[in-house]
Amino acid sequence: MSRLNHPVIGQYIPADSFLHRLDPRAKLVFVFVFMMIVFLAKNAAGYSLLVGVALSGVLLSRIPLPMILRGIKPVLYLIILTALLHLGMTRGGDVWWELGPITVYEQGVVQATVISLRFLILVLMGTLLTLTTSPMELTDGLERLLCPLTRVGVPAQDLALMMSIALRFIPTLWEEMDKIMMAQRARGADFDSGHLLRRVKSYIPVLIPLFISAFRRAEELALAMEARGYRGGKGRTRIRELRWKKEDTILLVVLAVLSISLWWLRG
Amino acid sequence: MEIVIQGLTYRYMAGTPYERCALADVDWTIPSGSFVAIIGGTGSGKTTLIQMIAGLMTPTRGHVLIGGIDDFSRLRGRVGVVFQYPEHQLFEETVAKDIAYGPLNLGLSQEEVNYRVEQAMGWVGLPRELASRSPFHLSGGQMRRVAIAGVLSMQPEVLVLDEPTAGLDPAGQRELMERMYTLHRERSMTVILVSHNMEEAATYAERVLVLYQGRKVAEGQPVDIFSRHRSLKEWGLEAPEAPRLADRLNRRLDPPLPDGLMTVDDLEEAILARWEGRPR
Amino acid sequence: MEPIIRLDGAGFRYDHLQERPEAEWALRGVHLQVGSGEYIAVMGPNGSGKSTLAKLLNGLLLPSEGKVWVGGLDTGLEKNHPLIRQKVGMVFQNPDNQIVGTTVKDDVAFGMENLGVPRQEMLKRIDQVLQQVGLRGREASSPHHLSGGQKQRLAIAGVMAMRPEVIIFDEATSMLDPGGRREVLDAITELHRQGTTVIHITHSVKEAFQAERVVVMADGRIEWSGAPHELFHRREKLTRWSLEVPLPLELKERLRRRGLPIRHEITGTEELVESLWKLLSRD
Repeated sequence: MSRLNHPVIGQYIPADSFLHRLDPRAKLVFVFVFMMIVFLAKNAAGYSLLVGVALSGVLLSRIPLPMILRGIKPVLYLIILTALLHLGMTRGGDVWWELGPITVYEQGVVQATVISLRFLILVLMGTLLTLTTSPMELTDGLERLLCPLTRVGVPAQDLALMMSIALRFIPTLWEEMDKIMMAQRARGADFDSGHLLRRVKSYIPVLIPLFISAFRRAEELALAMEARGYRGGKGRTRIRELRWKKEDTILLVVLAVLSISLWWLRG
Repeated sequence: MEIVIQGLTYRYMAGTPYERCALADVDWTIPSGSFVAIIGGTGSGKTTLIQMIAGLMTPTRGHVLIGGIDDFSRLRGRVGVVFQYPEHQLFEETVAKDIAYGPLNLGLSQEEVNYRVEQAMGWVGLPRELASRSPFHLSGGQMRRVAIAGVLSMQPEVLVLDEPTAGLDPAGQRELMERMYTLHRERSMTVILVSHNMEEAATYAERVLVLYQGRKVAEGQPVDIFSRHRSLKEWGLEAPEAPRLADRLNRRLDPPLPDGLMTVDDLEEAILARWEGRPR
Repeated sequence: MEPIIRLDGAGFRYDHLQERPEAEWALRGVHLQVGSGEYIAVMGPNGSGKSTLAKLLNGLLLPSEGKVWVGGLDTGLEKNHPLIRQKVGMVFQNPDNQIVGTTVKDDVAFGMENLGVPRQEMLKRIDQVLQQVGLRGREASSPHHLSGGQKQRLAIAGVMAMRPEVIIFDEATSMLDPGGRREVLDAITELHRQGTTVIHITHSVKEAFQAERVVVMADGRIEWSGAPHELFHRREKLTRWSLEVPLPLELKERLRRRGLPIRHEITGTEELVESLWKLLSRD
């Protein structure tokens, strides 16, 4: 049970903020488009604008900064590594430092800063999306956005249902895995020592029962769904509804203005 | 091996706002070779307690001494646990291989392992010809036996049984409990039974520990525990049916029947004695 | 009056066994009628065909022989299934494996969504059924945080919201602790009181005694059917069907055998206590 209690990276944090209240469709569209227009920024002005938007997002989310940073932390190492690579490899401009075999050029510093900033902004926006939107809202948002594709044969409703069932069963299976591990440990299993291959092998007595249980659950669930009259997406009504509000329109207007400004500033 | 539990406390997520006390200051001594029961409603801390007795969880405070040892790495295989619905942990291709998993982890020779598998199958009443079958093609009751044999094959000196009869039919329940009781007697194995079936606790246990909201609220012989009808209700439990029926009769009967009628046999004898000794 | 459920010589054998000529029948030649508003308990050992019977009653399984009628509709015809599923709801054994929604509210809605109930109506019914099962105020809770008994009550609410005429409980209490069992049994009693037809499949003789009629299954056939108190005089049969013998019955039989003049007709704890008290305090 212990593992359940630790917040997962990027996990939804319930709160009542401007970002939380936005329609998931608006947020999804914003983040999707934003991730592309980030590459339009080519100079200090462009980047200041992006940083400004990202910071406003942080403020509007009303989520304490340490929690957001915890979400970004795992990626931080990757960012630092990339920055270091650029620092050491990129040539051009004046030589700033010479440390033994490594020479750092002006261009290297610029490249490293730009790359890590871009990376950081992208990760921050993604994190903000998942921190302020529950997985169910995300599912609903995706479903509605994919809805037009139903006509070309994309089963948007069934996909959304699949996703929500997966979400519903994650904690159940997680707990089950804890139980099985505990039971096998009582039979002398050792999951923590030995080399990699041995450790992977030691998980077989956990994974097989877990899969069997997942299949059994799936079978029973399918039967229960059939008993409750499920016949696929056709003719279904929905209890969950998304409401497009004024704020959502405003967000899209901001997005448009931002894109145009970046295009302009590109110089 | 005597089990001494001292000041055992466990807090979930200690140091966070979600902190919850699962077990608080439990003291208990389980004499070597005894058969005891832990009873309590959902969330009473039963599961946490047995996980710590088995060394699968580290207490926040206090300790568990088994035969004077509190280092669980030296106790490997000496405390066996049968968890709820143990058949959900089966994984091997054959019954024999699954039962052999524990003994192999103990590093025993193949010869010894084979001997133990056969022995454990006998203890739980599995016919020998099932050894090479897949455990997944057996009936629910048989799968349960395979899982229990997988724990017994480690020849634990202490056996913890967490709701061992849940989901079995009445005949299956009785048979399983009788087999465990026989093993306890013949091998002087200490058995700790966790159950919400009060009949089982009353029939087999020498002593009963009652947990309520993580605390030890009562401990004693079944006769004493199960005569406290009002307290039991408060703890979300119910006395077994025999003492309940005796209680209802005694409320009207003067003089009442003697105390401590735990089973239908006790009731039968007590009523008969009264009937034969009545003034004619 | 036309019974709500009627089985005319219904039988079932599983497909994968059919290749063999001696393929086992899970159910054979069952005749059964269930009146509207009736409360029936179905008992029998594992493998006696109880669960197969339950699945025949709402078209989850189709009879390999004979016919099953629900409210005059033949379950053998696929086009009848949507209506049959609405009329006959089912609560299963494992509380975890029948909850679809990520929140209590979503789960109650699932069946109604399938029926195409308009959203406003859904909200009204959700409120009403959650009130009835005592889960109001938990709309936004994740099912994962509910106890076993609460999960089963949620499943009951989801079925009730579809406004069925019959609810089948397929060993719905067998995985619960005593408290959870009580909760579900109380809900069943309440449903029956409000006029829903209840079919309760159970191992427990004690639970079966709450019903108006008991059907005992063995080897895919109906062995016995009658009022619960009649079962009380059939100790030997209970043992033969590997069902538990209730304690008062066991005690009564033993004392009679040893010469105590206890009436044979006694059917419950209350009567037994009364009769023992009279016998033992006679001067």
